[in-house]
Amino acid sequence: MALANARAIMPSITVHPAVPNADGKMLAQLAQWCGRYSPWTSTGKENDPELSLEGAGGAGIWLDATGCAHLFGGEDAMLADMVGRLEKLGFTARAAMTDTLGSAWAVSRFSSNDAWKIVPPGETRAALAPLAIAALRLPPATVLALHEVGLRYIGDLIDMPRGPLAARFEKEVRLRLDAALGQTAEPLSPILPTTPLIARLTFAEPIGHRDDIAAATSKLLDKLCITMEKLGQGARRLVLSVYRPDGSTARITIGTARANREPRHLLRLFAEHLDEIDPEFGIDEMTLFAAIAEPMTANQSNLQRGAAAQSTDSYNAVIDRLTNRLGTHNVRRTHFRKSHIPERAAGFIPVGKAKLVQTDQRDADTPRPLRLLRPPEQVEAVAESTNGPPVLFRWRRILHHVTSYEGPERIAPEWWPSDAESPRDYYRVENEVGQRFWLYRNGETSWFLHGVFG
Amino acid sequence: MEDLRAHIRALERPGWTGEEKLFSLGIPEIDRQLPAGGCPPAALYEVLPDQPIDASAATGFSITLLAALTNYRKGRILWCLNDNATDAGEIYPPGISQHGLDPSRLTIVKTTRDTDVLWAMEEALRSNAFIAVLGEVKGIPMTASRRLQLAAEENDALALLLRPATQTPGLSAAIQRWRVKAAPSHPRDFAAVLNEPGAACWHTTLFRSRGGTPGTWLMEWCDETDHLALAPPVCDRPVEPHNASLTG
Repeated sequence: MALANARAIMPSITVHPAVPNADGKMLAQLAQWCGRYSPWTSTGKENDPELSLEGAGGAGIWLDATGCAHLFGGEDAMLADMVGRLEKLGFTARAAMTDTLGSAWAVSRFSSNDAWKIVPPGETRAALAPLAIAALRLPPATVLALHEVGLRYIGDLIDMPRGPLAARFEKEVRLRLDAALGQTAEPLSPILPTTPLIARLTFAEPIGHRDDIAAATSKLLDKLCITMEKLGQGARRLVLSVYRPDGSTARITIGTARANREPRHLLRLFAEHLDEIDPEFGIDEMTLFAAIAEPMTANQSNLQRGAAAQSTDSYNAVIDRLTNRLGTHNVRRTHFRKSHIPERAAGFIPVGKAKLVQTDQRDADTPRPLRLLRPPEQVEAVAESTNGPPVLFRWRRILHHVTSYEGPERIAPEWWPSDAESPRDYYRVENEVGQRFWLYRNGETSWFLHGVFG
Repeated sequence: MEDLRAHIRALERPGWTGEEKLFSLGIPEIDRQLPAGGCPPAALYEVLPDQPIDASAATGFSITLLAALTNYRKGRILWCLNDNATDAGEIYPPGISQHGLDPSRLTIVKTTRDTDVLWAMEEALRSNAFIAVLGEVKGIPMTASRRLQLAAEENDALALLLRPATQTPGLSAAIQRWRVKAAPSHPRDFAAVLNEPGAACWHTTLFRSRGGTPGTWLMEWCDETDHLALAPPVCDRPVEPHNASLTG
């Protein structure tokens, strides 16, 4: 109804302008806060981009609580805890736990007035039937059209034959209905949820000291590694989240090159980043979640093996520490490619992407420099003849006289047509002092320095 | 005299068993001048170029030193690149293999700060996963170099600092400190006839050797046989541009 009408009915209402951006941000933050209950939370923007904060029902927060309820002592206790805490934060919340996304959305908004409601598995149909059609997340125009035909409740739709419904109304009605009933899949998280590998620690009094945070992380790691060992899994990515009493959160993520469940090693990786957590007024809960886990056989934590295997473990461990502090793209291994263009033929690529087996490396009968300039630097050079070697060149403002040269080695561009490339004639030259350079001529008269020799 | 040396060594390194395991650069004249007759594989070394333009010569020498180590023991090598300490480009695997070091042993780390390089070197030394760690640093205070020397000794790995040219290298705990300058090469056989450059040739000065005497050598790298050798004495060569005619 319009504001004027509302004021006419009740003159003393307070009016605040709506700020959809701030509301959206707050919702996203709350979704993060709900991470304490389940690692998979969403505001619904990905599934339902048209869902706005206004409109019937509006946006809210979805959680995939598969396997999480037991940590809180049951589904009932979990919802009670969630609604209670949200109310302490100043929100009025209504929650519903059901089998499917669609029915959870419907039940929480259109069902009875309880603060939370749990629909046991198998009773979704019965729970949905008495609800209004708008509970299916349909656009208002479609809802109106359905009303005109006399369909007001979901129960009316469920038993209708498909043909006429699809003919009169868009596919959407059927899609939403099937999703709500669980007949088509509508996953919240891209990964197929099994029991999440998550460990939780709550504190009676908020902690803030760095040592306490480190000790708590250590405890969480011990707990989680035991769980992973029982399941035969190792972590590749771990997310440590801290929750503060005012509803804000912070998180640190670490990654490993190989699946790992060694608490000491993982603690060292976290230790690098613990200073990034600002405890502010204190932290009252911490969770550790293995976002990516892989099967890991027991062999890998066996200490009694040959020296070679042990050194691979220590190599992987030090690579983990280097990548976590310096970045994955800054720790690299040698890589050869089948190309005769020098800057493509060899280089270094990040450890994670390097193949363990090297492709054949050219043991060059042609000289290659020790250091390669990327990109090559243009130099001014003078040659005796158009196709001859350089006799003089200036690089970075120093003039060099060429006393001897080897070449030319002609390197043609790759077979695919490219405008900028022409064949390069490479020369290995030595100057009067004994410094050796790798120069090439591109085209008629431009010379470049591509590398230096030892 | 030998007893005195052994006694001092035992004091310097408690736990030393009396058996010195050493590797050699391949040049007997140098080995003779080093204390203990060779290069210890678990110590800190330092290499500097004479002038900024000699930076790649210093790199080449460092690689041959590491290659000499790999003749003695197998394992992985870490190279900490530092964009601020060297400005002549990134090391290039085919060039590295032409100096005798197998590039597939290399793991590199790209950083821009000396502190990161020193941190990475220490982590790598203490991890027992590498036989050698090379770091490009602009400068290093004495205490930091002492830390690296201890870490290298305790963990049986070689640490090498590759620094840019400087007039004042400062104090360091490295057991060998080398200064390298590029020298004109000595082409042989066909190469001499065609006036091609010969193998890499360096004027190296061991300006500090703990327990030994400094020295200067002219050495060249022979890449067909993959070894370092003393170059023949420098003979006067007229410096002139290449004369295209072969009969001249």
